Amino acid sequence: MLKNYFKLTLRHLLKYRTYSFINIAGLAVGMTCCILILLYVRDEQRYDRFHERAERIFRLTLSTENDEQPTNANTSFAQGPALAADFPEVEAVVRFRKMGWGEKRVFAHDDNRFYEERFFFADKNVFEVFSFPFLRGNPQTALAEPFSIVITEAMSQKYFGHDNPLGETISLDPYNDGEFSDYKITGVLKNLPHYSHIKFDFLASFASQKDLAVMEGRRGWGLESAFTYVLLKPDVSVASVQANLPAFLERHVGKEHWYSLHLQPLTEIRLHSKLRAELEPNGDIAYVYIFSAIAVFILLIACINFMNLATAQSAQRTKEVGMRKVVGAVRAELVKQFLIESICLSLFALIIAFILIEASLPLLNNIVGKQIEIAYANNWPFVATMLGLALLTGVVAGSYPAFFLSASRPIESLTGKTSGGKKAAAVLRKGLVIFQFAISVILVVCTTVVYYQMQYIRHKNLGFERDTIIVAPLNDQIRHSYRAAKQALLQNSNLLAMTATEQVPAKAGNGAGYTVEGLDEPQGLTRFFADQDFLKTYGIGIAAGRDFDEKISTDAAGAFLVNEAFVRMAEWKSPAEAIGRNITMSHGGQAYPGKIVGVVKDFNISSFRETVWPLVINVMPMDKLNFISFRLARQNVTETLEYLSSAWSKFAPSYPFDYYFLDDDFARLHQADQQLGRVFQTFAFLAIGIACLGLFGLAAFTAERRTKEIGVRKVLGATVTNVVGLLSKDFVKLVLWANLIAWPVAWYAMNRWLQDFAYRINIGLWTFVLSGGIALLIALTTVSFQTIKAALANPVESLRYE
Amino acid sequence: MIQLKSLFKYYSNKFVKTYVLQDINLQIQQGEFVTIMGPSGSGKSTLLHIIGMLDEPNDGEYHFFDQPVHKLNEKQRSELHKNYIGFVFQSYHLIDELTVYENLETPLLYQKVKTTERKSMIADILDRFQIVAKKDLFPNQLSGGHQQLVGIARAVIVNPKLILADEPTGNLNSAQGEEIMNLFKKLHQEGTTIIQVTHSEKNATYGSRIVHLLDGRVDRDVQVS
Ligand SMILES: Nc1ncnc2c1ncn2[C@@H]1O[C@H](COP(=O)(O)OP(=O)(O)O)[C@@H](O)[C@H]1O
Ligand SMILES: [Mg+2]
Repeated sequence: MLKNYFKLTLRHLLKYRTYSFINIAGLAVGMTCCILILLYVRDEQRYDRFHERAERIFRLTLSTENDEQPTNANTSFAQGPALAADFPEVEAVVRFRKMGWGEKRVFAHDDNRFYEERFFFADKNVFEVFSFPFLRGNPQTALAEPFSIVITEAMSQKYFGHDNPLGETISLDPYNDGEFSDYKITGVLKNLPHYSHIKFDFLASFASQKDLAVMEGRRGWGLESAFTYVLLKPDVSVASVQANLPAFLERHVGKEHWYSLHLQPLTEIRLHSKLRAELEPNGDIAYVYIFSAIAVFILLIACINFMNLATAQSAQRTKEVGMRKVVGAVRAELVKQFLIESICLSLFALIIAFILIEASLPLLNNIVGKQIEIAYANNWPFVATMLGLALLTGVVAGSYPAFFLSASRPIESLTGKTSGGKKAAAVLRKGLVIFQFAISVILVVCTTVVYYQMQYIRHKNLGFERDTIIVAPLNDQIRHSYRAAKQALLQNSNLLAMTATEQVPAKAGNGAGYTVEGLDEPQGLTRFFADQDFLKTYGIGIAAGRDFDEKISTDAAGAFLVNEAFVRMAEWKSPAEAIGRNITMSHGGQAYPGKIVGVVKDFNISSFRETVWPLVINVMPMDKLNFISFRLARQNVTETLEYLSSAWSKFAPSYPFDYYFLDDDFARLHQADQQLGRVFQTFAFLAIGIACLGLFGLAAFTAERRTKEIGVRKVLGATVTNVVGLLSKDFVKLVLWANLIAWPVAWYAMNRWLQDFAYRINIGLWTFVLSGGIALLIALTTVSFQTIKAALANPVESLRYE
Repeated sequence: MIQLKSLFKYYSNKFVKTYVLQDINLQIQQGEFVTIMGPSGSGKSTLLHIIGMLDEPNDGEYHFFDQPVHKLNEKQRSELHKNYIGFVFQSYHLIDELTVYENLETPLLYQKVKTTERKSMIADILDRFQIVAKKDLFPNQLSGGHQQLVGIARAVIVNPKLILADEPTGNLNSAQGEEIMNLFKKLHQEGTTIIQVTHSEKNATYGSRIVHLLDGRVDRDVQVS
């Protein structure tokens, strides 16, 4: 019996080639989308789960807000050891130290000298808590000694040209202060998977830090670039530890602390965490949901094609059904037959889908910035999931036709007498087409909105000139000769200005405590250390007071600038009210008293999802600064960069010139949104494609069914245009209905998405009209292939068989 | 074998009921060869479909052997139908996508006949109808006469107690028609009950009894010798 069904399925496929193609192609593309998204979702969900003890690892986070919602992923250096000592529930604590804001550091071995970004100091027990896979060396002792370092496979190849550099040394300048030290290689790790939120190529022993005593002592409880992970003992409740954190903090820093501490599960970091100073931009659970929904919808659109074409084709099929009933088929057997047929089709589509997936996986990886691959061998859960998907698709797509067709009464189907079911089927068919196009229009609207929001972000005035600014890491050789270097470099007329700062926009978020005259409580605010040229170089405007002035000697120590957001926070009536107030910064266990001399216009230093934070700018000595920013003239950029590079090497021979455009860094802040945009774009395109494929089939079917009518009309004098109009009218109506449904849904969804942005576009009506228009145009074009063909046909041909 | 008591069949079109069959009372014994005749539209096919359980009457009783068909549900009716009845149509109604062999196989599949047995039954019937050479052809590659042969073979293959034939020779030339009628005669001699609808007086002579329908009623019911 089964064999019979398969044979029949195959013959059917061959007999109705167009329909088969539409069905299989649609299902294959739908499945491809679905599987790709499934792969993406699974990848997002496996972040950090490869650590054996993942369920027991928590990240210490910090909140500077009164509502105690965690705000910062970075903590301080004394907290970890104190936690380990105070809490019996804690099995181990590991700290990672990111140097500065993750600026690159120079590593050297013989002539191999490179800037490297992925570098941390880590506590010696890091490999007891985390399960980063070792290739060589002993995880227990690798980071026990000062000046030991563990590197990845890739670095081993890069610096040593082989995979066993144990015992060899690599030289680095971790503080970027010109002081190189030799680190002994004590371990080689497998390259880290992309699904680790902590990514590094070098991990140096914590004891190697020359300022460890200060960092754990005087600066032990400030906001530093320490990332603290806590391994709890088995069966310990996080809540109980969490509950004791306020008391813990009070014990160590006293009542006057400006932040609170929190524990965040390691496995939630990737999809549920959006803090300042995250080690990398995280994913977003909302996007996982959105993408999953899109996957389901695309597959559904393909299934609908199948249903629609099957019911449209039912004229042919019901005859067969009738005959089968006459020779003894009961309904269940017919349902089975049709289901087997659709499952066969979807299995076939699955095979094609895998060809498509192999072809498009690099594209997906490119869009989402991952290295997802499919392990086929011995991956039974995967195989089972895929077969399950095909089965489900087959059943969803096939069930309606199966029940619809098998229900027809044999005599009606044989004699061709119409029954009520057909009308219902036609109504349902229309409903399903409306649904398909509604989804497509929603996706098009989303694509448009995301696109324009991204454009807006790219071009919005940040409060400074971002597209002409390049940033390079500052090093000690430059620091020592900064004045001379500045004078020499600015000789080039295409180098308009330069400034040294501790952080740079898009990489800022470090804070400090501030006591301000007129405000009761000490404030934890974002700090910005710079030299006197910062505002000039970035082109930031002044709202009140004045900029730093090199001629005023007190500016180097006691002058502070605040931004407009600060004034709003302080609830002062005007920026002018801020001028002259006393302000004291406590940073690194030291107090820096001074006066507010100016208020700067607000400028964005972080993503557009955030409003501009209150910010305090002051001048700090060169050794506190990490970056150098240049403003370039818009012309001759290549030449200017070449000039900079060669001039740089005169002042800093040990440090290669390494720079990036500030603009690119800002773009990176919105990477996830950019991805969303591209995913929408791709899937909107596919959704419309699949929906149109179905429409093409339906149009063919309608044209065929109405051949005789068209013939008669033409004999009576209808023109080609009349006929095309007549045939297209129904489809146009469907697409218009689809728009009516899609607009409010899309408006609601996109409005919610935009709410996350502090700075956002307004969705204009034209977005909807445009998207609907595009969908309509595409639909009409699709249908026109069939209608024009039908309209051009010789009427005599179609009437001859009367 | 078949007992119809005051059977009615009508189609309602908006507010008007059109009666196709009115108060049909008919008894047919096992082993009879009955011909139903009557003008076009008199309800012959409808009656045949009802007897074949492909259609339901609106009113009246239908007993098949001792089963009250009018009280059975769809599933029970399909069971009865598939075990006892073979149907032959004027327009053959073979499944286009299946070869002759597969068309013959289909009813056996639905009866869940085992593979080996099935093969021998098909081989047997192909032989009996002398269409062995055509077994791998598709219906549209056959002449009308051959298609009808296959149609009858498909009805006969399950050894039905009752064969219903609706103008089986209507689309055939006279030589082909005669061949088919001889086949029915042989089947009848072997003990199968046959009910045929025909317009041809000559074909009617093959049977033992003629039921004349007129406007949905039994007009005359005569035995032929
Ligand atoms: N599904 C139907 N709906 C409405 N009228 C029908 C339907 N089927 C048959 N009829 C009508 O019933 C009458 C009898 O049809 P039928 O039994 O096919 O006659 P015959 O086979 O004697 O030519 C005809 O007038 C036909 O139009
Ligand atoms: Mg008839």
